[in-house]
Amino acid sequence: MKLTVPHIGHLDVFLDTLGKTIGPEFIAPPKTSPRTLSLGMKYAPPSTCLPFKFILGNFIEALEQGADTIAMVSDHGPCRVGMYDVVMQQILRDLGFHFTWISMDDTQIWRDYLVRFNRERRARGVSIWRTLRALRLGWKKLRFCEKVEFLAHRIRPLERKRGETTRVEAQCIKLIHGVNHPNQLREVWKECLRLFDRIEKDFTRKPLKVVITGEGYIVINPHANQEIERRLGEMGVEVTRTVWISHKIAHALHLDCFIPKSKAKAIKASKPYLKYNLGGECNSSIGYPILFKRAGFEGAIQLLPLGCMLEAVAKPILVRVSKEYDLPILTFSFDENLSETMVTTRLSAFIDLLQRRRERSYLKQEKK
Amino acid sequence: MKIRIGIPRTLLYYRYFTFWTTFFSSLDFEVVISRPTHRSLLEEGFKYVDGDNCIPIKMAFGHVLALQNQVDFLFVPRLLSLDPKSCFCPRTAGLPEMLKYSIPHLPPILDPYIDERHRSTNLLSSLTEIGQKLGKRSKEIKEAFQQAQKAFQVFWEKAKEGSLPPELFPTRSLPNSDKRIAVLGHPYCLYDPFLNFNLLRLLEDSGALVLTQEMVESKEIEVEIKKVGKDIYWTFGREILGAGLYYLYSNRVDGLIYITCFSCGVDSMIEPLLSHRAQRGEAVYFCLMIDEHTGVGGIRTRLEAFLETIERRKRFQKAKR
Amino acid sequence: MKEKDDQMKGYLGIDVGSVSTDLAVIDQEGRVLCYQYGLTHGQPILAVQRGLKEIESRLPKGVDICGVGTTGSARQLAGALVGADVVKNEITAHAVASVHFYPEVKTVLEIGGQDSKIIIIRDGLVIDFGMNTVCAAGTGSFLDQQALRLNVPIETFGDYALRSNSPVRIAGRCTVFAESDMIHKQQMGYPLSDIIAGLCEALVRNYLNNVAKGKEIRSPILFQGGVAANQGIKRAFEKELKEEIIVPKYYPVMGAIGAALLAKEKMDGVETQFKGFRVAELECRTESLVCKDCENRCEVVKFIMDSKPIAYWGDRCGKWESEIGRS
Repeated sequence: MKLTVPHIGHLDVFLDTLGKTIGPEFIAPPKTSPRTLSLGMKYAPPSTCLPFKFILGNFIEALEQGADTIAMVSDHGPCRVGMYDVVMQQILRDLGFHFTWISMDDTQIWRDYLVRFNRERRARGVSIWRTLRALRLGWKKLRFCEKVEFLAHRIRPLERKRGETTRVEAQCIKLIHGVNHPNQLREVWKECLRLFDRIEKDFTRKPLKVVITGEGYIVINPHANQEIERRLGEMGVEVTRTVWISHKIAHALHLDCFIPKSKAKAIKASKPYLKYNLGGECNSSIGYPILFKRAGFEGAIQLLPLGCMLEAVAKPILVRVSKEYDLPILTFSFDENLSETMVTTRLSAFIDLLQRRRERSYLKQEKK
Repeated sequence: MKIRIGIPRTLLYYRYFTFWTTFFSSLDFEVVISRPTHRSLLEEGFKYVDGDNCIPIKMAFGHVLALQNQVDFLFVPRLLSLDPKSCFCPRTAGLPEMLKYSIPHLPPILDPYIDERHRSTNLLSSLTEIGQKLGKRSKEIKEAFQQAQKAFQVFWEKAKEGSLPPELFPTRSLPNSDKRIAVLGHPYCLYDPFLNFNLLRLLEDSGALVLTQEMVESKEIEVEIKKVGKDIYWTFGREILGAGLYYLYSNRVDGLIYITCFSCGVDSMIEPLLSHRAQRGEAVYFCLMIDEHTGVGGIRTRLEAFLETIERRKRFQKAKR
Repeated sequence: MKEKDDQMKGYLGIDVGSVSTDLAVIDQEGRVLCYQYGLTHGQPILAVQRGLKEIESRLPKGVDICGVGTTGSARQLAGALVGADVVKNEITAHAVASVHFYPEVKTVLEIGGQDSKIIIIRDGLVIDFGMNTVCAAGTGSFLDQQALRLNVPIETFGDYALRSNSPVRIAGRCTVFAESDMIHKQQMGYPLSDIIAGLCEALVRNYLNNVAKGKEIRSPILFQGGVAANQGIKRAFEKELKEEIIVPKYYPVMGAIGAALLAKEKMDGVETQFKGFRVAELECRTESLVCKDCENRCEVVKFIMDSKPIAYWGDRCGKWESEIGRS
């Protein structure tokens, strides 16, 4: 079995580790590129959302590289993701590919994940002990990759030489990928910290703090959001985002209590504005800006694919939240036509807006 | 003075209007329905609704604005699900908030949360809740509910035979024709003549017999969906695809038209499934995608071409015999 | 060092947009000393150089440029060319200029050649803004197109519109469909002034439904940008918003004034990086190269002045930008 999944955040480091220790052979699709998007656009039906196009492109490229099994999450609505399996299979088979499709239903953790997984494990004669160790290693590597991202978010706005943090980030991710044994983890992490330490920083800067929220795929994938985290960081802003693979896994296992600003808490915060949980990230996109404002963040950015059924509901509600919480919120609807210049101009205007607000509030405090 | 309840002529009004109007009238409320969609109504709506939304939601804004000053309450139900297996588009569940936060000075909104998949939010419970808020007793509400159910049954039985009320299809004639065309789509795409440029009328005027998805038995729909192999979780997704495939495979129609809206999540996933199978079928298939820029000229042309293809096919088949 | 008299200090602002390139010089008090507007014609470097020559000739005697700011879509290019102290986006620049002349301003409407903006200001601070996203129907280019087609000089558009008492309703929120509707109405015999007035109303409607959607428009309202000269549009705004619309005196160059003001703000005893008006005479050009150092294959722009490369930009990782720091 040559298994592939779409590119989503650092999921690949987790699956790759499992693949290496207990199989199946994991074929990561090539890094999402303009070619990926153009393939997706070419073969996707009209009116589909941006994540569909990227993921379709990923699958085509992975199949071209010899993958024969596709695993993809699915759910029971209400958004379109749950239907990707049947529509994409139709398209891929029409293109002449031969493959097996495995649907992983998020609400059927037992059946789709654990039972299936156990079956594969037994078929390969891998012991439970080895499996657990591999899972643990994969999880740790994933968490370390996320920690690297987290560090990059805090350090990038302070860097003296543009691009240094991004270079170090890429280096660290590569090092973590190369870990084959839990014993290596500690040394590798120490090395990462050293690399980050060596970045020349200007500590006199006081970066603005902005949270990025919205639809999951667009928020977590730099290739889908025009690398907005990097751009904001290079413009001197400390960002954080509300979508993390590890959080998603914890949420699926109902372990939200361990996460400080969990999705469950965000949904709760959104209740005064949206009475019912619509699904997807809709409610949390409304609640997260509230949680982060309380934590001292100065602005929020909502990202969504153009036409998103759920985030479009959150959009007008966020206008009200922005007013009532005195938190500027900027929204971007991504499709393949949104130009980079448009995004840059809006981002820099937003940053100026936040900067002046800050200066104004400092002045007010001084007067007191 | 009776309390006036405003029902926007939009979205699921086109399926459940019999139920809603009977329910509220039985409770002695005055029911005010917005006028049929027209240009300036739409333009008013555009001023307030965000561009990321589909046309039906934009129209909903227009209809709500039209009712704003004429009613005491607006009825905008959050219809999540009316059957155990599937749900409606989530935008309807969020519509009351979208309206509240975009349009100033709206009258209070009655927004019962209806999800038949759970007992506490099933249709009777949620309607009872709002009925009580309006000062009615549970007994009256239950009676009104039963009246409404009866009225809906009558409507549904007739619809199954192809007899649609004038609210949906004024002066429908059901001609005896050998040109049989099935028209599929969300009810608000099919029965709002402004949205689809009066397509149903144009079809009938051209001498075709228009068949609708309401005319297909639900068990036939289930059979077709099972064959597709995916437990589709959208109510209208199932209905449209199931009815479409039924018509296709049972050779009951010469042509199939699927009316979709740009930016509709359901249509974007269902349409490829239907068109893929329609390509291998005998009927002529045509998907009409409506967006804000659609012009009537374009529709007429495509419709003519569609009907001509059907005619030609029929002549060819006759000649073969 | 020779002491500089306050009145002699000048600050230069350059706004290089896709359609027009404007320059302005202000004094220490923020008064406009001179300004100049021209067309970019697709060649921003030449447009800036032309503008510099022109404004140098208009500059009152004895004024010394102590700070330069650039804005507009080609702000980076212009900044490298002249040695800018401040490079800022157009929204901030327009906002700063608006508040400077009208401290009470609450809304700024701007319709340019290729894009449109709306800026919401409260207590002198920008709190919200919008830019046109997908289409050109709410921009000046649409008007220009129609003026050409109707063979009516764009400067007289406003007069035609004002003559109308019953503007024709022009449908379609897309330039293509609006145009076909206009043609249809013309063929039906509606007078030109009514059609032009209808066109102005359609543009304003488009603007309000797209760029300004969901924004809280409150008085005092400023209307600026090249299109602000068009009285027909001004009247259409007043009709639709039911508020007075103020067209500031310097409406076509507010962006440049804003850039100059931002430069003034920054230069507090700091030496300017302005290379002088002589850059208008130097031979400047750009070259693009594809960097092959990694799979990103970034297209890097190389800016060459007087045969010497002085700036690079366009790379993702920053290695080019840092190779030759800007002087």
